[in-house]
Amino acid sequence: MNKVDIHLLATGIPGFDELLGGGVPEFSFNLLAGTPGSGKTTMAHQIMFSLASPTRRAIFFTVLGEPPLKMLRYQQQFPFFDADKIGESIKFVNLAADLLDGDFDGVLTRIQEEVRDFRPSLVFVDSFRSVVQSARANDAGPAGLQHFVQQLGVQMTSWLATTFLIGEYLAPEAESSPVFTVADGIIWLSQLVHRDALVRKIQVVKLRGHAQSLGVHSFRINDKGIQIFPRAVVKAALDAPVRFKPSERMSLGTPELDAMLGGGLPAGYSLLVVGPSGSGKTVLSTQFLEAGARIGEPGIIAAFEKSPNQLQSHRLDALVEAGSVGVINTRTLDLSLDEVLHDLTSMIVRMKAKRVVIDSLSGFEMALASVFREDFRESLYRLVASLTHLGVTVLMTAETEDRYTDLRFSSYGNAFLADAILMQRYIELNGRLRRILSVVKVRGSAHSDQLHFFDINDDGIHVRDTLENYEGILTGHPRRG
Amino acid sequence: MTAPPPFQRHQLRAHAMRTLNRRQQSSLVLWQSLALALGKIIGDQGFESLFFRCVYQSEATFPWLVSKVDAKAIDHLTACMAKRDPAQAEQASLELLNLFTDTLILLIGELVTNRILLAAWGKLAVDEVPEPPQ
Repeated sequence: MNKVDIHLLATGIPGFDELLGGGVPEFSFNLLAGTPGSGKTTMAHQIMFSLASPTRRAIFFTVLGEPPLKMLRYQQQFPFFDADKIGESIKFVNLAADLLDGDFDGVLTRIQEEVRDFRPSLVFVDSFRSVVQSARANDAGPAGLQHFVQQLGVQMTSWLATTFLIGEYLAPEAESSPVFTVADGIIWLSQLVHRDALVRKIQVVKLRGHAQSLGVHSFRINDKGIQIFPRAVVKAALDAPVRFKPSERMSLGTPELDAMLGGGLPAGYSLLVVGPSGSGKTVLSTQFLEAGARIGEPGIIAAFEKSPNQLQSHRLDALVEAGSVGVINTRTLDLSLDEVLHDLTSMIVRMKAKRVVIDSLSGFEMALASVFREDFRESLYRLVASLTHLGVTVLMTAETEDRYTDLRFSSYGNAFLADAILMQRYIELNGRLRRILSVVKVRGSAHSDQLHFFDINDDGIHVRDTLENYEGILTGHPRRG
Repeated sequence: MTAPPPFQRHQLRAHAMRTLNRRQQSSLVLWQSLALALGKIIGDQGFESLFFRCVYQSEATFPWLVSKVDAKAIDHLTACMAKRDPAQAEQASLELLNLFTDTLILLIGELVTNRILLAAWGKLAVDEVPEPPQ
């Protein structure tokens, strides 16, 4: 005897199917719950317009709450809203009057009649919260509500309809709600305001029949609708980390610099380039990407600090135009790590990128919503670990203050995250401000321990002589030894 | 019956009215169908308030439509029209319908409005459309 095969419906919401373990189980009875404004109705509409067709019809019951006129007015701003589907594939039905009578059986009968006439495969009830409140307000009470929910669940399953109840719930009351017992799937949406940034979260609390992606994931509502950034994508990518031969090295685009690193940067390593403002970190990053492009290794630059036209101008532009380098450019200040990682991972897979530049860590920290900045070290750890497991070699830049009383490699205490560190500094010598650089660390590899002068001209970085005859260099005031 | 073509609302109404004229029925039938189709989507209350808003908006042109508003929308319109010359009543009803659909378009856009009107008047309009040649 064959077991029943539960068909999973693709929701049409980017990232949502990964969270659900492949999609929404057909004929399941689901609750989309969350606080007001968390995106429940948008999510329901996006699923409905994506799935509905003349052979898979959908019926959307509106109860009390958001007036249907306003719902239609605002939801049609999203591109997924296809007015041509209304009528043959999608039907909207208002139940407000039925519910005002307070007769749950009457509402059930009305739903049953509409479902019988239209024969939908998808049923949405928005907002179910109104039904709950109505139950409290009249004699039916919780027992009546329980009966109503159970009957609705039985009816919709019998009609082979995949059902979504949309409701505003706060966690404590939800636990005692009969809806939670009956539902096969519970999707929880929430939003958190921290300082001025709003962060949206989604959690699949319950999903009968198959494994969902656990944990809380971030999502965004943009002009296209809802987009979810599941951790699952990165996790799946991490399942089979790319391994490199210890001898595999990547050029930074300057032979002398490669020599200082012991023959180039080991593949799959993360390199932290630290230095004060204007010391040449972005120039070095561009050269790193150019060196990759020359041998057919695509690269990506995540520009958190500067817009593309402020970057290495024509040199980077040329790489981008040639398709050798992809740019992730964001200046919003409410990102989550998952969103950044999602964008980077997607682009790495799409471009088959081998090199990634994060310019800069301070810009990255600024781009994160304030709530995520609090555990920036953890975020950075996850980001670097995820990227290097994907088989890319990462170059990160970090700006250090011009301090000459101590030796610092990062403002964040994150130097331990990097496999290699390259330091740039200014020193005062003979009335001139000179640039120097040194390799501080290359994990598991021999490397130069010398300080070198370097210059930057139109061609890029040029490594010059060592400062062997000087001492007190790191104080910024070297003396001939 | 073939699937209704994507009528624009004016064509749709003109086709539906042709059917009604042939049957010697008034534009009240259009109102009744629209009340049913739209009421299902936005609720009867929603339909009523939109309707009476339009009635008050057209007060300057048809003051007799505003008199003693204590019935449901369609009953009110029926009663008001019954007291007037049929041609004048029909003209007021159609102008009110124009105002109503224009208001609806302001709220939910032309695309969605047309779909709702198609659901309401589609059958009446298609009665007048000959089958396409095979």
